[in-house]
Amino acid sequence: MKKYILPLVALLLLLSSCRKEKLEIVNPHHRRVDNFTQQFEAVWTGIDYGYLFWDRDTVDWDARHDELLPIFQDFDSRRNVSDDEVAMAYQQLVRGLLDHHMQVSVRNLLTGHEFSVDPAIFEVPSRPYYHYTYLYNQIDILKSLPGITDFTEGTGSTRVYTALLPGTGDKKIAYLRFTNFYLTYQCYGNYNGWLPLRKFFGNDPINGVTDGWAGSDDVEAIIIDVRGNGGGMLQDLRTFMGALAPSRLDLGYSRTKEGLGRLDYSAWTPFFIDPPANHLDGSKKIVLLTDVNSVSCSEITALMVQAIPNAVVIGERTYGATCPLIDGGNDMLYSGVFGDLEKYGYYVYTSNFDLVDKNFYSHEGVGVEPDIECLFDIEALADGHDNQLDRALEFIRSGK
Amino acid sequence: MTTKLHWRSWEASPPTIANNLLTYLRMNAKNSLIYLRMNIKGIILAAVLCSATSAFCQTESLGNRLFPAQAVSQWNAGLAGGISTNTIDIDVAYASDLRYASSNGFNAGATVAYHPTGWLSFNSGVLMVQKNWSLSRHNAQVTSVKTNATNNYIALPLAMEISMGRTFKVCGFFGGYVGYWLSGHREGKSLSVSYLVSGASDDMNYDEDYQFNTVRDNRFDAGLTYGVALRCDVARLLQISAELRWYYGLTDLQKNYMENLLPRYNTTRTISLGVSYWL
Repeated sequence: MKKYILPLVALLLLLSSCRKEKLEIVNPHHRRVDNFTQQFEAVWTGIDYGYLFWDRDTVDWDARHDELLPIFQDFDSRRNVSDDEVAMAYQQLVRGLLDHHMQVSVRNLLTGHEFSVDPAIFEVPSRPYYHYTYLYNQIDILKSLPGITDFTEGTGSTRVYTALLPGTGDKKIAYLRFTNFYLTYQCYGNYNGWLPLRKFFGNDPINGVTDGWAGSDDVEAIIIDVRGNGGGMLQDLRTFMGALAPSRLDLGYSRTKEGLGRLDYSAWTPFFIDPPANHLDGSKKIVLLTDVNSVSCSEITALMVQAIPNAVVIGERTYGATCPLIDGGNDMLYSGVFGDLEKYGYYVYTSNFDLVDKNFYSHEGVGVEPDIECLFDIEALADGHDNQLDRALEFIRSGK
Repeated sequence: MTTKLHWRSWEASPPTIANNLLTYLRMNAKNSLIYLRMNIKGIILAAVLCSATSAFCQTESLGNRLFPAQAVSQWNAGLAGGISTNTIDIDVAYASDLRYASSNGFNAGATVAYHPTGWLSFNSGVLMVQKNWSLSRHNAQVTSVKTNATNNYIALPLAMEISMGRTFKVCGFFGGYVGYWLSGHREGKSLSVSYLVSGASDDMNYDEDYQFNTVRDNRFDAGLTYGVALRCDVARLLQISAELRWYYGLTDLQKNYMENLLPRYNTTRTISLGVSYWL
């Protein structure tokens, strides 16, 4: 019997070595690079393991690697590589990716110059309704509207505008516009930007709607204008936008990466926003104005408004950067921002919370569709009319 | 030493059922006294094994006496079941705070064996084997995230078995298996963006059936199986067995869907008790 046992043990050991060997992978979040090839590998690997949308992105990432690696190897063999060449190579790398938050910043290791590329840079402008947001022209038109009172403009990096517009009968329409979601900072910083917020929400805007216009019986409707709003801090969503909701807003589901495999995801968990202690009761009409340059938190605000009864989104399909991120989250979530431009010569800004709506539809790379589409009309603007604001006022006054 | 004494006593006086029982009790008592007199502390395990061996031998003798024809066929078939303990062997690379731990489950199914000779046989069967694992995070910022995964597999092992003994057999076996990942379940706690927005920590729990990802999940399972078993014919047509078996997966749990795929494999240990019928 012994003559069988030894060969069997040998066979067992031989077969047990059939498992794949472990890979040697350097964490792309903290990788020191000495040449273009290493820089490319760090960026490619970081996106390979940390990108959030591999379950639905159509880019062949492995093919991109094989296609571009020789180009970066060629850079390493040369003494002069222009910034344009490096930028073009990285733009080619990220071309077509869904993540509209993504921005890849790199340093030309020969010239020392730094620059950024992103996947949305060609996609969004290619939309037929794409346009620049003429903030100051639109504000000038707002100020000249008949019946407008109490126009207030805040100062600071976040521009905040409020005004009261005439509604039906003696009622008013409260208008609020801001250029990004750093309102909480504005309040804590005690900047002048706080003043319009105090008018709109009340003297204690951090705690929701208190004695401001939004809660006044004289105000029948509210217009929140996030056209051209570039997004910002997630905390603002609850503090300010959540205050407009009568109850918890069930927006859909979120998940994160849960490992380094492209398809290693956590389970979906409910994505909801609870209103702060002081919030509206749902009796006022709410209109959110969006355009193609409404990004990130502006787009989540659109999802919030669509979940509020008696509220509509008017304007255009938004930018398509709906999945949020937290800076420094890569070590925590295996996705999101990685690298350090100053230290390592590369930095990638990308999402780390995947969001879908209640129907499990992802708006990333697509944008949020308005309830009532009203495309920007530059000729009307030239004639002194903001056709999208006009449409919002018409909806409030006519109900359709 | 006690075992030899035991056999010799039987050779001198062939036992009846009553004698066998008395002998069994007497020998166990005698064994105990011998060990106590030897003053070897901490050898309780040896005593237990010795007693168990005596019991098995007694059973063999009893079976032989009652049913002189040990087996009536080269085939036997039966049922087996027990517990399984699975370890997921995974390359986490730089995600070093991911901790995968072993989890217990169950295994149960039908077994069949073919015995061409007295010492060689081939065992097989169709078994449900749970290959469970748990995941936790050991990161100061993320401590609450955890997953308990239940995975139900069907396995068809085929192993060559070599045994020592006649009615009571000590066996070792080695072979391969193929299987299929039938279903799964996940429960645990996940990070939620609601926590960042609202500070709400509730509703982060989940408890759901696992949805297979056809691009990633490799539901085909195959690998090596090996182990040891104790098998004993307790009656003319019945055999009972206790088995310690390993399923050493050689198929990655994932399809080869990305270039730098980090491999992950199951290694499952089962302990099962079975009863089979000589056909």
